[in-house]
Amino acid sequence: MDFLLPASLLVLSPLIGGLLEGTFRKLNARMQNRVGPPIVQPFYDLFKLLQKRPILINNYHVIMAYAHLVAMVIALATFLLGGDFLLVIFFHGMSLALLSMGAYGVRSSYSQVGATRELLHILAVEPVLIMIAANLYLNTGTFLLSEIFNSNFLFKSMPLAFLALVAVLPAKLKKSPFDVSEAHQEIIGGPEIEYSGPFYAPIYLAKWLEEVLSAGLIAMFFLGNPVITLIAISVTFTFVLAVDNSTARLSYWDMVKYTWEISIPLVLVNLVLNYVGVL
Amino acid sequence: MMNDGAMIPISLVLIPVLFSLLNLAIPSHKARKIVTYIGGGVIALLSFLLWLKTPIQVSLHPNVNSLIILLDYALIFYFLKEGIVYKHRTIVSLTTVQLVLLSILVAYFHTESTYFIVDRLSAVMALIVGTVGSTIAVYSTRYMEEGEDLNRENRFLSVIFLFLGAMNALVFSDNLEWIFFFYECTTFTSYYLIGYRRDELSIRNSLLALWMNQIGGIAILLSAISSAYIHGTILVQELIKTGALLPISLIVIGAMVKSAQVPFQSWLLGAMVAPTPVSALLHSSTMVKIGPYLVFRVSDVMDGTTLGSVVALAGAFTFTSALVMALSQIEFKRLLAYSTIASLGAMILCGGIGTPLAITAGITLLVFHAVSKAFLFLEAGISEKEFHAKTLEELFGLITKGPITAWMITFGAIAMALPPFGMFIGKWILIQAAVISKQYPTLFLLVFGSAVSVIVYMKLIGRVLAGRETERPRKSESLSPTYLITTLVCVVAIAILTLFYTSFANSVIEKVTEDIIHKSLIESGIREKGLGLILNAGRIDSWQLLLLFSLAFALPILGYFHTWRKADLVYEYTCGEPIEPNLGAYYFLDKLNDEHLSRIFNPIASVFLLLILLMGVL
Amino acid sequence: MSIFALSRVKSPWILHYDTGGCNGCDIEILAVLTPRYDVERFGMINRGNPKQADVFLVTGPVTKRCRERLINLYLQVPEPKVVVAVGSCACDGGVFRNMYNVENGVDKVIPVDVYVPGCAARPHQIIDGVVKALEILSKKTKENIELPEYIKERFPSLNDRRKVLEEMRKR
Repeated sequence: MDFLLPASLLVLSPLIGGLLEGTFRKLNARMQNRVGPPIVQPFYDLFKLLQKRPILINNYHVIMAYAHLVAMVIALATFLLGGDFLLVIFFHGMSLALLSMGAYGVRSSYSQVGATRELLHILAVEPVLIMIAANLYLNTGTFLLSEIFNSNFLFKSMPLAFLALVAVLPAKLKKSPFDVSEAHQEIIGGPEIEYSGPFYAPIYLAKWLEEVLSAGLIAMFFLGNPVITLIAISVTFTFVLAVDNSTARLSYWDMVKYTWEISIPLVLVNLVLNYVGVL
Repeated sequence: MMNDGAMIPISLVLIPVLFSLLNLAIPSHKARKIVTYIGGGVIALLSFLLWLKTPIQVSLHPNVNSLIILLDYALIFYFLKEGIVYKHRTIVSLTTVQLVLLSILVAYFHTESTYFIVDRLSAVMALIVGTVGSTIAVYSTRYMEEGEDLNRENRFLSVIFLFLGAMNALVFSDNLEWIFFFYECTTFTSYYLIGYRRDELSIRNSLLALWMNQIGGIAILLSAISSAYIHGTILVQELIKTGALLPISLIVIGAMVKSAQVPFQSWLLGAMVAPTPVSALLHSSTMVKIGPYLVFRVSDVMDGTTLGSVVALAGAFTFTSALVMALSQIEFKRLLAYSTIASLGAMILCGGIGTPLAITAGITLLVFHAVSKAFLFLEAGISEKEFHAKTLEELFGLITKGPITAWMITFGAIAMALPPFGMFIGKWILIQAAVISKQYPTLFLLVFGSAVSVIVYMKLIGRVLAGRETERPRKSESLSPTYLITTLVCVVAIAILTLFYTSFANSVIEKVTEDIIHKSLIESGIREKGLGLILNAGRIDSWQLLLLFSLAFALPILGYFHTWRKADLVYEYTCGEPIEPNLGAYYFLDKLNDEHLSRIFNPIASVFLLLILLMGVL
Repeated sequence: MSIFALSRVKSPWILHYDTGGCNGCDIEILAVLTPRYDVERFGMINRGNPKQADVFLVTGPVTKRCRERLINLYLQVPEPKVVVAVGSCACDGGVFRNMYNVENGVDKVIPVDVYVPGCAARPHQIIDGVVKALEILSKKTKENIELPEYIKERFPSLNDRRKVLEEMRKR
């Protein structure tokens, strides 16, 4: 029973991720006062990609796309099956690093610039998540997710850490103002530009899984009552989409500076408050 | 303490000296090659034997003490002569100070104990020196055949073997006077080998290395004098038992100089003008590991004290600042040098925290860094000699000219930065240790550094991997057998150590940790489960390790061998224009120029040094 | 219809290229992508690069300079693909017909599936044209790789898209 729920979540995660991505696009459209695509649109996209004629530039560029997907699956599996939270963060960073390795593997200007920016995404997101993990250790005494999932309503003792997580979510999900690596109209998709058809499908799928992982991270703070968890996830994602629709893209340096000037101090203050016993 | 196997430490010191003299005497290059192969094999075998037979205590003849003091004075006078010949005032003054301090030590605080004490920490260091050192010595015989003067090669090989012997003797010594002598011996070998090419740049950098390392020697001498004056002993094991802080802090400062921590990093960066085997052996795998070795030796005393926290903070500061400065490096070997400095900072950090978990992380980092970094330097040497590529710009698109080397460099960089390899596992355990010990400022710097290290290595991979299917060469480049054997040995070592990390941890690392903290490890809570590891607060499972391991190995193998036959080949998107893009890499030079940064970082690091000294006094 | 054919129709990604026109039709195409006409409800996204596109929207009477680039982009779009010529210039030259520097329309260079006339073509007409193109797209497969007639005349010996691209790079 204990193993059944996470395992089924893992198996259904592409489905959940696709519906999540479709909901994002629909919400985006409604915010812009238009109709928008159907919620199952990402699945149409995925199947369309799978049936295109394969064209490629070199073979390892393509292999890295599959490696990116595999690493993201490993990160999600570690998260759902209750592994070590630090490992989840590092495996997620590893999958982004593999994508940027693949993007570096072609001699295209947009791809190379996008790959460097993708690495800066790791720089912006990973430290904050590790500090949140340190805060979690202070509150629950462990890094193991199987025990953290047993705790109730962590938000009460870690509100600032949750705010820091929300502040870092645009950089994680590649939404404005921090979508520097996938800057459409600027570098036309960044690291993904040279992928097409069946070789683009794993990257597309990995994006869905990343959204499921983010939903899991948000859910971690609001466990105990499934209704509250779902409300929290919906409100947070709506907020992130609203920020996406109303801000412009900042430069990569601003992204790194912003996480360092806003998110990390938030977590540090929370740590101090937890240590002192106020929260 | 058992006494059988007493010959092994002595032979591990004397046999390298013997091979050093042999290499000096033999005039033919081919004969020297054979002698090096044999010597390397013998030393490696002996170091394995040593590990099996520890702990060992060897008591030597009392005359050895006098011999060492005599040789010590000879060495100091040699340095004085070099300082006078090159009109270098700093060297002359530092050497004079060393002369005075040594004389004080010998006159007032001399001791008659002459022991070689080999516990598991020394044994694992000797193992690294024996295996990695022999591999690099063998590699250098082939390296020196291209573009270097083969007539002077005998001195090169003999000094390398001399270094192996001196390094072994240092890790076996218990007496601070002897540690000083062998410390200065390694300084001498470093000085000679950096200046080996005898051009102006090399000589200048060798003098820089000399005087900076002499500062470390002075620190060790001061530690010996203070330890003898305050506590009446210059033996390290007894010093640890007394728990004195001032000699310990001075030893730590000496260690930091030898490991080129910030603010002493310039000598290691300048040392990169030496031939690459020198950089691989001395300045990444073995000599600079004296720093972490000394810190681990005294870490038991620092556990829980403020001195320990300050040392940890200093190590973390070096870790982060060196990696940030590595982002803007254009030369390949300088990038690897900065990364070495950072990893050594991480190891000193582990020693500073001092809990069993941290020490486990430190020994993991020590072993894996030695093998991985030596491997990367060997590849740097191959690209320097075969492809004439010293900078990252020249390395661009190496995969079309030399796919084997390109994939080896990729594998080496993956082994340094990504899961499941040992550097990653060490970093993971270290972060756990830092969080559990509530060292939050250290954690703050550590997480930044670990993210930057991923960027540094991915950028390196990116330069060599950029290529096209249409430009795949018909045959890969042909590397000489020596190059292939030495690099494949490193790859196999990394693979086996990573896959069987848990049993390696249980059989080797745990025992070393026990010897360092003088307690048994039941309460540190590190247990193995299949191929995975269970810690008190975290866990890595076998399926994760296996999946990641297959992923990491599938990448170079599939990348090298596999082709998609049914796919069309096209070119990159250049907006339809038929141009060939001219691509450089981001070096962040507007924000992260390392000269500007070192002007900011050096003063901060000096403050840390002063704090360390202060914590020792109080 | 199989799931693949259905998804091909439900998720057409666009590449838009202007071969030297007055930009009137381009502005109308951009208007189609805005919330007022909202072409994303058909699943259309404007991906900026040809490797991820299905529908190739071309405007402008192909100038001599744009000819090579048009072919380059067309060859980089993987099958199955449709080409929609938007505006009278793209159909047969429009205002610029028979001038010295134009090719008089897109179909002189690459095969066109749908012609959308108009000067400038209105957004409703463009949407209509694209929907018609989707019907054609649903019948295509990824197997027929058709080199344009123009290319077959110029490089009679080359039958591979990469070789054609390589030839063209040598200019």
